Amino acid sequence: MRALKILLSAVLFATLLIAFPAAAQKCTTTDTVLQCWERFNPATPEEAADRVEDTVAAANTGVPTLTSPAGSALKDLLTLLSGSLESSSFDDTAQGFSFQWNPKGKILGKSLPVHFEATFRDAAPSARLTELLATNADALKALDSSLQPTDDIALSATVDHKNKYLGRSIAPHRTLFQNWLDGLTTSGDRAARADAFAKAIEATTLNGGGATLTTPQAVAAMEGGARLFRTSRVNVTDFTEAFTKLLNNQAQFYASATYDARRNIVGPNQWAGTVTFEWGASNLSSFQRKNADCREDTVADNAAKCLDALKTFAADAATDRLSVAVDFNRTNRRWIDLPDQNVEYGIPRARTVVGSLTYGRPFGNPTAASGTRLDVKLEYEDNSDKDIDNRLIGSAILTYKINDGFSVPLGFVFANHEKDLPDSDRQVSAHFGLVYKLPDLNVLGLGN
Amino acid sequence: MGCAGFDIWRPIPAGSILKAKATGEDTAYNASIAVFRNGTASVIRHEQLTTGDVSVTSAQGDRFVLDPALILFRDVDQPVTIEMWFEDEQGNDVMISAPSGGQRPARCDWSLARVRLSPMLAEIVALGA
Repeated sequence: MRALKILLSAVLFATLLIAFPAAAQKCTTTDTVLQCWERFNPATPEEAADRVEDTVAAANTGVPTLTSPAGSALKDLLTLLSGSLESSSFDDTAQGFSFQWNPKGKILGKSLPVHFEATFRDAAPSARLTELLATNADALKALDSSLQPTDDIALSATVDHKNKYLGRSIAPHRTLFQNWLDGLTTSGDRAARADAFAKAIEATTLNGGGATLTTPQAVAAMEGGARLFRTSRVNVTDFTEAFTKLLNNQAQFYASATYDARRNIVGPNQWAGTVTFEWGASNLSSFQRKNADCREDTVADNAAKCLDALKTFAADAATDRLSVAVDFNRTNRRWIDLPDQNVEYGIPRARTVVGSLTYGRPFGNPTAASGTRLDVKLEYEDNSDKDIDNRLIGSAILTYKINDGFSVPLGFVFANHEKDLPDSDRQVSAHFGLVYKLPDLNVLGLGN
Repeated sequence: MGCAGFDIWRPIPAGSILKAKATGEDTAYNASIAVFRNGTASVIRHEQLTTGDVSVTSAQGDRFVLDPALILFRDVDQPVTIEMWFEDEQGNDVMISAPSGGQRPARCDWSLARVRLSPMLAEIVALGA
């Protein structure tokens, strides 16, 4: 008897298990059109919540570099620049104005990836001079008044090259992406089945997402269309997730040079330059090298097969990245001689070269709302021309992102000089922090 | 106006013009619309959507299934948007039946700012008068 009860319970449980999801994917005559649709194509709770949009950055941006000697290879270092590289503009600010120029010409048929910028700052006497003339306000005011807009100019050139092998822009890959997407969404008998769905809807009186199905005929029509769309949706979602992952692993190259031209009482002239290369091993370029049938001219005919290959490749793809950077800074020698004010001093020439190697590795999906990531950075600073020692700083930071606005970095920083470590008398210090990103005030209705 | 994942637009008068456009940071997204018209497939591509070069004139009894797809490759500060609508020859929105009675414009838009919500996929069935 007991055995029979157990058997009946098991059968009942199995029946419920099978019936419950089936019920969730069947429409009824009391459903609205949209309710029926969402039984097959549900909006996730996250999507629903996100319709009330906030614009705090979603990616785990790891260690805040302004407050820490640690660094990350996982930030999209070119992202912030790309928006300003489309055209020239004239930006007038309270501290001066800047002129930006993107040459539209071509070299060997390729667009120039160079951006020029000239910033005319609001020139002011240097801090050193201001200090020396602290007791002579009239002289300081006279010097300040003598300064022209051309007495403090910053000239910069930036190279931000994007092509099929460099950069994380979709633009060079758009034909491949679109051909592939077309192959997935319009191939086979998709058009005929879509038209059958439209005909079935035509035979009803349904006129919008809020309409109630009311008849079995309307239920059947909507279920058929919703199922058809679900198949396409799954394919397209798999495709775009894998494609996005590989696109975000493309290598990036960035270089810039800046020259600060200043009148002697403002400060010394300075040169600065930076070159950065960032690399992720498994990327879109490496996928195409290994899958000749999945290039832009052939992918539409092999869309489904290529999707399988892409999913496998992306699932195995490492998401860690390596970044190599060299920064150069040179300050020219300068002599300031103001006999009327009895001021005379010099600024020695100085040169600094900083090389850094940064490794970043996310654990889990890097674009998820929460997750963990590791950033390891080694930086060497050559100060040969200065009266300070060369230095080596290393860091390893583990950042746990709790949500879009809140993350917790924890890590260790090593330096060959104790003074480079904040609040420490040893060569290694441990860091623990809390990072909170404020939401956009405009989104909250508190901005201008 | 922001729209859900599915809608039915009817009746679309003959001579109405399907228009569509996409806006946003071009290097960060791709927008397209798969158009199934009376059983024939075509695609309105990203370049057409960003330049506004979309114009499909409907005929008597046309059946359209329109599948907009908005795909984001990295997070953006300003949402990218895809919008489509039917307008008459004068450029006014075509008015269609509302489920609750009355009329509404045959117009929808969808937006995305987060990669993790990508792709945005929807479907509109538009039926001619």
